[in-house]
Amino acid sequence: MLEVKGLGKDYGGFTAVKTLDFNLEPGEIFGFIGSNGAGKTTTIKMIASLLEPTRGTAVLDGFDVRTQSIEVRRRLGYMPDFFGLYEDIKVWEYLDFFASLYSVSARERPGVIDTVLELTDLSVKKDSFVSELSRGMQQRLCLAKCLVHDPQLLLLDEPASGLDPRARSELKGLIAELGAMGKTVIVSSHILPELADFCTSVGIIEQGELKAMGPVAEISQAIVEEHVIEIRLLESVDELAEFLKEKPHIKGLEKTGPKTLQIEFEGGEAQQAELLKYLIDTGYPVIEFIERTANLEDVFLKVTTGAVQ
Amino acid sequence: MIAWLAEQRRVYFSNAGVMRDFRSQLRGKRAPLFWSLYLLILTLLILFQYSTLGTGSSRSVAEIQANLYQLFTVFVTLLEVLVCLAAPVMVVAQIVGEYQRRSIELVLSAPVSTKHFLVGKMISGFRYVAILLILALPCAAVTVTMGGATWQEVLEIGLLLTLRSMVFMAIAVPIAVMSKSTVKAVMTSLGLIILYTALSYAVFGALVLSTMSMFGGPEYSPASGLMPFQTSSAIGGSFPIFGFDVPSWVWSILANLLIVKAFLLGGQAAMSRVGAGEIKMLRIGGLLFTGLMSWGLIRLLVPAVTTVTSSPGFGGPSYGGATAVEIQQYVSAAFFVALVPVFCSISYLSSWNMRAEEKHYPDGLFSMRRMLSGHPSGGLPYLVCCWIAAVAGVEFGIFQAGALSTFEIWIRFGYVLGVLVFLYSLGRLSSALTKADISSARKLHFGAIMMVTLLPLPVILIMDASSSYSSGQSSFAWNIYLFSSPFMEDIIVALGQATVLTVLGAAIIYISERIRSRKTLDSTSPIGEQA
Ligand SMILES: Nc1ncnc2c1ncn2[C@@H]1O[C@H](COP(=O)(O)OP(=O)(O)OP(=O)(O)O)[C@@H](O)[C@H]1O
Ligand SMILES: [Mg+2]
Repeated sequence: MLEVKGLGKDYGGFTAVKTLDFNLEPGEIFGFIGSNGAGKTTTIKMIASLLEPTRGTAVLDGFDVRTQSIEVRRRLGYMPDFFGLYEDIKVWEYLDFFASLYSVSARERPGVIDTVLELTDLSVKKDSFVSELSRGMQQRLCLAKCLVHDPQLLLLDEPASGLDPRARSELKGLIAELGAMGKTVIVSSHILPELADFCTSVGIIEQGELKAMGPVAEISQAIVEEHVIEIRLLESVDELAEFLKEKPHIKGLEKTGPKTLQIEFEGGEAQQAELLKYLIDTGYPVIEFIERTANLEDVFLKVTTGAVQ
Repeated sequence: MIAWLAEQRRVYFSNAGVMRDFRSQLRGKRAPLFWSLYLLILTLLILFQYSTLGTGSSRSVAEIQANLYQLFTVFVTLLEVLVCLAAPVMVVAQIVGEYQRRSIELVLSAPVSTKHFLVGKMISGFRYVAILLILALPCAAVTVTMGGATWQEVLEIGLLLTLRSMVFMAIAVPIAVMSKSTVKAVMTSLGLIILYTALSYAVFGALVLSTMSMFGGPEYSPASGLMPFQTSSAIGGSFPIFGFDVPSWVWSILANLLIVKAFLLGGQAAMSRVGAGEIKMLRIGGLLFTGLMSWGLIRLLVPAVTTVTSSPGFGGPSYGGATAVEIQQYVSAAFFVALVPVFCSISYLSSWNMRAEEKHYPDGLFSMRRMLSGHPSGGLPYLVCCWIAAVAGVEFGIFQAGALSTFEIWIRFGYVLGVLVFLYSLGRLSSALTKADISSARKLHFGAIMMVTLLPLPVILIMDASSSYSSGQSSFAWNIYLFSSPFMEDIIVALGQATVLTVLGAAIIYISERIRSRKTLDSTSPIGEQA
């Protein structure tokens, strides 16, 4: 279990991270979103005990990152946003190196290596040189090295960058699996909307401050009050637009195509059903009537001002 | 205890980094080529030397023997130069490469100590050196079979060269940790090796000379085991300690390993964050070293004088054979030798910066509590403690030698303190004047030290020359050279200089802290308002 208590970092006179407070339980997958320079990497490095916090601390399983960094490191796997791999050794040798850094005994190592290669889908590359791997495979190798010592906490700093959609969805599956195994996972990203469906909670950081934090649905609801409904007709929507303008609960209208209309709707579900019934009764040839739920991207854009520090 | 043993095993015998480096070394294609070239050079050299020896049949056997031994000396020195070049390059390439590749963060996020990491790199580097030494064995065998050297000498040389390569590698370690480019780091560490050589010649050369007369042979001083490029003269012989005849090579092992340890700790400290155990260890080690070194030098020098000086009474009261003036000279020498590490690291103790990433804490000037942690506010207290350690060592040594310290010696202690405060103040000033980063502050500070120590030198030389013509009165009153004669001779001048330096230092510190606090305000306020 991870407790972050008042964690903050100044670089000279510049405050990169103000004060962060949050707790994560085992099995929790925490998505950490923020624009460039928001302070994600800084926070993750402090939790990984690679950067000295200016204030506050983080405690992993009762071990303080400031004073018991070795114990903390034994329990976490860290994947940086930028990293280099040793190119001149083989994949299994690379993992063997890390297993031995983590004091996995020489007898257990072959088994452990096979398991993590299996998990990250790299088994076929076991005897290839690291330099022969593609970018995405290197990314997965780095993830594999985070797993050799069966850590409790995984810190993944933008693990999805550089991956193709397929690899990304595989990564999602893998991370969800790790969460199911009872590990705490922190994943940072700009493109978290894509990874959102498996996060149990998200935190949005902006200029070093946690602006919102909680389960995905909760956050979306709290921040985005109105619903967006998309309507597609068989014919032109011009007339419909005129017609709907004066109706109640409708805050805004936007034509997104000749035959599609987006409306900002303030009412609840009952009013939505009523609206649809009304449209059909009036004789509009409705093909589609969907509520576009606010996704994390909207939330993100809404919360962050996009200011680059 | 068991845990400690396991950790030692992990660091020295089953070091993960060593295994990894070994695997990639095995696959290197250039290494065998390099080794063949090296072997060829050695062989050609030996052949060439022998061909010049062999001619001239009229020489006596003894003469040829002497020449052969000289050849052996040349061979060993050459080998040492090669080792000296190869060893730091290997280590620097390994360490800087790790930073450039950005693989270091992955390693450091694992539960490895900085020691584990650096020792691993040194072992990997040493493997190359070991290969060089082993390859040189056939050539050494030639010198043995053809006469000139014995196997015992070859073995001792091998041991000494091993130690030397370790020292050279260790010197490169802190530099590699702190620099971003391999070429720069290699150049700097070679420069530092030259500096180390010069320093060790200056320091130990004096020791060798003074002990020479005690033990009767020029080559039989244990100190030559610490002097690079003197390996062939460091073998054989022994040095009595507490009545035991300890062979020189034992002494060399101990002393060299101590130096290796010191530099390694320096590297570890450079890798660590403020307040880390490594920094504390380094600082405590520095204090111990300063104390022991000043004590040891006084103990070595003062009795050495008693056996040589046969005319007590000259130049004042005598203490156990040495005159007061002589003792004062030794005190000054011992002081500066003992404080050498302090002078080497003074830029690191006193220069900081506004935006110095991890290690910056605008936490004031003088905090006893932070003396060992690496915070800027601990710098001055640490310097003062080093000074106290040196004073304690010297005093104790003089006391043991039966000579009690005098008022004059105390004044000279004050002078050293003044120098330290003054140099420290220069560091604070350069920190206050530079904005960008720590390293430019340190460079500026280093430049400033060079200026104040070297600039007055020509003036002094001219003054001395002219004063010896005219009145014979010395020019001390004008002497602003930091490390020179006033210290040795005129008590009033020493007192004056101590006062001037301390006051000047305090004033500079005050001014730079003013500049600094204004700057800190400037740089933080806009950000504060934004929030
Ligand atoms: N070593 C450093 N020295 C000074 N400032 C730094 C340093 N590292 C980061 N910063 C600053 O701290 C802030 C946060 O940086 P951080 O790397 O944590 O952002 P991030 O959220 O990871 O951004 P990105 O999405 O681009 O990776 C930035 O404004 C950056 O300029
Ligand atoms: Mg980042």
